[in-house]
Amino acid sequence: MKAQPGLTQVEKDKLEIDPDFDFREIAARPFTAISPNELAMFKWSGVYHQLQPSFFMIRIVTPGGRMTTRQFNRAVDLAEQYAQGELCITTRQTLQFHWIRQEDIYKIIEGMAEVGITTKNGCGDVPRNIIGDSLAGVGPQQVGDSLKLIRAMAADDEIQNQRNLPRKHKISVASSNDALAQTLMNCQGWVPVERNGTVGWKYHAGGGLGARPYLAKLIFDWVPEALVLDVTRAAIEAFRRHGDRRKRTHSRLKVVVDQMGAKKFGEVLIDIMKEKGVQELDAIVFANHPVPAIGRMSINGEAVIPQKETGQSIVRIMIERSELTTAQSRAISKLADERGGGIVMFTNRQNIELHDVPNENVEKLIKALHTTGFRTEGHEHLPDIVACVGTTLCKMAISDSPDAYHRLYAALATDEKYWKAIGTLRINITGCPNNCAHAWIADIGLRGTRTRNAEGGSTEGYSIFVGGKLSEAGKIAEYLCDAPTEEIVCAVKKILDVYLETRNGNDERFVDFCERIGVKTFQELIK
Amino acid sequence: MKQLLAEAEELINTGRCDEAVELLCRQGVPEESRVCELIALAHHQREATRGDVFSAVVFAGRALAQGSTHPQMQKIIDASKRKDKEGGTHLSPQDYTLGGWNETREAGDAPLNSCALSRLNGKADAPKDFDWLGKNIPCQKACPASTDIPGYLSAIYEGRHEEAYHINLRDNVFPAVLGRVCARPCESECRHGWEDLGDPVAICFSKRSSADFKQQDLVVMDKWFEDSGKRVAVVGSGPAGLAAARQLALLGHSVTVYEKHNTPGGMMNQGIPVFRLPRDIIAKEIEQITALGVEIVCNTEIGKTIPLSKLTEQNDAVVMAAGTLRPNLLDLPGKELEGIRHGLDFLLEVNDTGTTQIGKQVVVIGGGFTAMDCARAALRLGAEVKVCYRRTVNEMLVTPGELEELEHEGIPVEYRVTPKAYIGTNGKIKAIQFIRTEMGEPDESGRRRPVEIEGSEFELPIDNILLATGQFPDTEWIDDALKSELAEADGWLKPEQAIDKIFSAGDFSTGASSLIQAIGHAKETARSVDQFLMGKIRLRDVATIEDVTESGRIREMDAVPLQPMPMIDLRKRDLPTEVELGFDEEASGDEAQRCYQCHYKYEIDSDKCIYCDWCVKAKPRPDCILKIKSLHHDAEGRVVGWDIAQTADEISQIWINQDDCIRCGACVAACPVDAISIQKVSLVTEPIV
Repeated sequence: MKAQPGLTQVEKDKLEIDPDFDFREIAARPFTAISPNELAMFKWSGVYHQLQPSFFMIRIVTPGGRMTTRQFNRAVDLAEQYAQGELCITTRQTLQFHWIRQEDIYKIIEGMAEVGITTKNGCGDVPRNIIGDSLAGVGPQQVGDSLKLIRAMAADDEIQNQRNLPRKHKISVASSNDALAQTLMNCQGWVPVERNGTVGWKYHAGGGLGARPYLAKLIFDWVPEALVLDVTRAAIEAFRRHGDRRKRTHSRLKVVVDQMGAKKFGEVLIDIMKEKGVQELDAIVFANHPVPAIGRMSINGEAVIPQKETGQSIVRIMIERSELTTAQSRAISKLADERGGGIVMFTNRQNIELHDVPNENVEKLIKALHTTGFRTEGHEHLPDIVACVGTTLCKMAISDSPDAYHRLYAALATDEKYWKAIGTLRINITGCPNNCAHAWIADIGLRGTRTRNAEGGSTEGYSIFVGGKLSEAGKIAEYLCDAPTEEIVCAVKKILDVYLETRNGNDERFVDFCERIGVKTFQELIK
Repeated sequence: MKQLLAEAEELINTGRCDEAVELLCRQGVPEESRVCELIALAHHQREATRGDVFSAVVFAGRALAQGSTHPQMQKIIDASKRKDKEGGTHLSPQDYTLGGWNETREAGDAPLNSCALSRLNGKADAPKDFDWLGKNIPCQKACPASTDIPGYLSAIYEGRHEEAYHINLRDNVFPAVLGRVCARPCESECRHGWEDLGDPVAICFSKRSSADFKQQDLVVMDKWFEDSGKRVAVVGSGPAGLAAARQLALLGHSVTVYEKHNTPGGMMNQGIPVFRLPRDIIAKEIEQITALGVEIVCNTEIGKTIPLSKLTEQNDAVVMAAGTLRPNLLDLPGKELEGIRHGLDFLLEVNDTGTTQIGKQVVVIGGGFTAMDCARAALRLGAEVKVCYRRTVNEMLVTPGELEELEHEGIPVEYRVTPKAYIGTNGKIKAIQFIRTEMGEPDESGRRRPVEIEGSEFELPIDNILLATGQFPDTEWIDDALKSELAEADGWLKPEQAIDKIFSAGDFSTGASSLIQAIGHAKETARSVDQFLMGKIRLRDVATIEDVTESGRIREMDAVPLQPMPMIDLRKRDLPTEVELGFDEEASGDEAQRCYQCHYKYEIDSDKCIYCDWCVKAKPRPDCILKIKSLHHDAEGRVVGWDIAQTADEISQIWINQDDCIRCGACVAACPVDAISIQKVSLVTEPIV
């Protein structure tokens, strides 16, 4: 018999190990009695073994990135008690606890469950936290109700009880046709569209970053709202059937869609829905052309955004390096209750927005935030840098991305005149090719690397990518150059100086500049 | 608590930092100043990763917040801060030359001394290239004829039996013969047989499959060179003589082979029993040699029919490949008794006539190929056979699997017994006396020397003794004019070539060995003859390097079990019937897919590599991918050792240790930046044009 491809170890683990661990039992077990395979399956409950032995990280699930202050307060209390007083905001609009002892894992899980928040599907080969954009439910351009769909998907058994997908699965639901919802880098991306007073949804699929990035294709031009859940479920089923479980690096839906093409993938979804007896599929309109047309980001540095409903506003707080101390969290929570609407929204740039702030409170709220030490200026500009935890906490990382964050922030974000002159600019720093911090789609993306040095060792550094975007058809950032960590500030400054000197007037955005001159010329200019 | 803190401190002082942190965590969430201090100190001391630096800072900060006055705490925090380099920066894209599996390499010199080969693509012939081939394709290195084993196994796996046969034919002249009776030095070197990796690939049986499933017409090879006009005579048409003749014919020379027997083939025909090697198989592969123009003259004994001196006059060169026909007879009391035969004579007669006189009780003395053949042939003639050997099974020089077959056929082997005397009556042997031995120090052959155990003598009643105790070259046939120049007084050839146009090949030159050894030696001899005839070296060995995008292997192939060789039923076993039936076509593919394909070279481009170490996380063996601080090279640029990096900054490269690589491809799949190349490296002998 010719050898047949068998199950990989991860696939075997998924079949053999129940991912719903009893973490009270785990608390009582010696660490050495937890097998590496079990340890890997902890992720299905949002629990990761941290880089530092003896400690764990826990990621919770907050559909759409929204939390009430009651829920947030619980997270803050638990972090104070068990997580060295620290919370971290992720790029998928949720929170992470670090420094959790094995004995305390269940305390976090149970404590959050009491306020209606789960850690189930926080990680692993499952549908991950469903994201949207931070303006969901309140944004001025809102079409339809994305939050309603996000909640329905988060509560849907058929979607959420998928514990053995070929790989992770990411869904985004936008509140308007706005790149803010990161539609093109998600496995499934829903964008609302209004036709003759009826809200329906444009459906995109096959986006995903990681080491080999793909931008989503437009599959359906129109899906009636009543069929959105069916299509979402069908896509997960298609992923189950067609995802390549042999190679984890090629197992995501992005590869399936890329290989099938948009039209075929759409047909596969229709067939699956037919099998399931879903009715009125004729109402779904296939896209004529798979190239998406996502709107440019509607927000651009505002500290305050008026909500759709008159009389209320969104107040945006920049969180330095996405890290919240207990004191900071409590201050934000208190202000959200006293001056806002008791709602905390985590953004995919690792910041916080307070929603439903009565307009009359806005000024006082901002003043209070500034007094407490928060900044509200600089969103979508140079100070608004995204970074993963890098080598500080993550086993995959190559470079210390928080370190690069802090030095870039200290050197460049403090010079208001400088960053304002540059205009819109998103720098994303990711410690490894997994791209948790989305370097591929940033204006300037730094990805951790090491380079052989003359002394016979290697030096930590970054590969620098430029010109990425998630608007229009999207664009994966192109490789510009490498720079060692100790020169990263100098390198970014040089790139920005070249841009400032060479751009076509003050209105040419960095991303457009990159596209116009091309990466080859850019490489020449920075030499 | 106090005791726990002291214990943790002690652990930190003795470098067991992880244990210290674990201990400190067991008592509760780290909060207290001293606990945080100790965790900070533990991670600070470890400092293998940036993660250690970070956690030291986190817990030093916690300690200070809890009122710690430990002087180290602030220092840990301050020391962690990185500084921006003063002055400008030179920004350029990283450049690299090796690239990954999806890139094409130019045929230039290798840019780094860490590169496995001297060149990036095409042909390479530096010492490090041959060193790579030898170490990395251990089966081919072990084959005296340098058979391209991974090359033909992959051809078989892909169903290209014709090509597999051609590869074998090119390298070892007699694929169908060797596919049955080769001594298989390759199999004991096979990577698949290394500890914990399973069984070696059945390389030999696969070779037979290549012959079984190709088209059955004659395969006539293309010659390397046009006719040279040179004439060469070869004495002896055994495997060495014929291999030398074939090679010389390919080189363009006119070759005549002289054979004293009525059939060519030498030991293949006269030594190996038909039940192991059908005669039509031999005839066909010899025909492929005569088809190249080689003339074989049988019934012509050099030294009798034609003297060697005359042959030497008539030809531009002579190759003596007369084998080893002088039996080693044991000098024991009673050696003149009737019924004592040398095994080779016995086999010659059996193979020639299909029978011979043999008694009921037969003892075969020896532990080599001949002993096995004698025993099994005698059994088929109706005798009760026993093999007696003075050492242990570990010292036997037999074909793998043959001992099992002996047992299967019910032939017992008595180990560690040395014959002391033949006992007879009326001039005929009746019994043999042995003494038991134990194994002493190794002798000059490297095998342990049997030492007799006093008082352990015993006798075995017998009708016949077959002595398979070795044989030597016989130089008696060389006419006197040349003998003094060519041969030593003890009958062996002189070690150095004495007359420039007279060469020797195979067992006649090296002493009794295996078919494949004789063929390998003859190939070398043919190259020397050609150099002598043409006054220059006309063949060269090179490593050819080709880019490959994937090996075609999947990991599950490693778990495919060794395919058993189908054999005929015991009841049907007689002298003319071949015992081994050969793999069927499906089994031949199943077996061939087990080969790791060691000719593939996996190599990381350390300039394209980003040092993420994901390949290290995916590696199947402890030492196949290493984080290297420095590689040690010898004067020829070969890697002879390394230092492992202890910290991230020390890693000068992440390096595939190809000696330990099992060609699974897991690293290529894991690499996020496609920095790992796959290349096929083959040893090729080619004419110099």
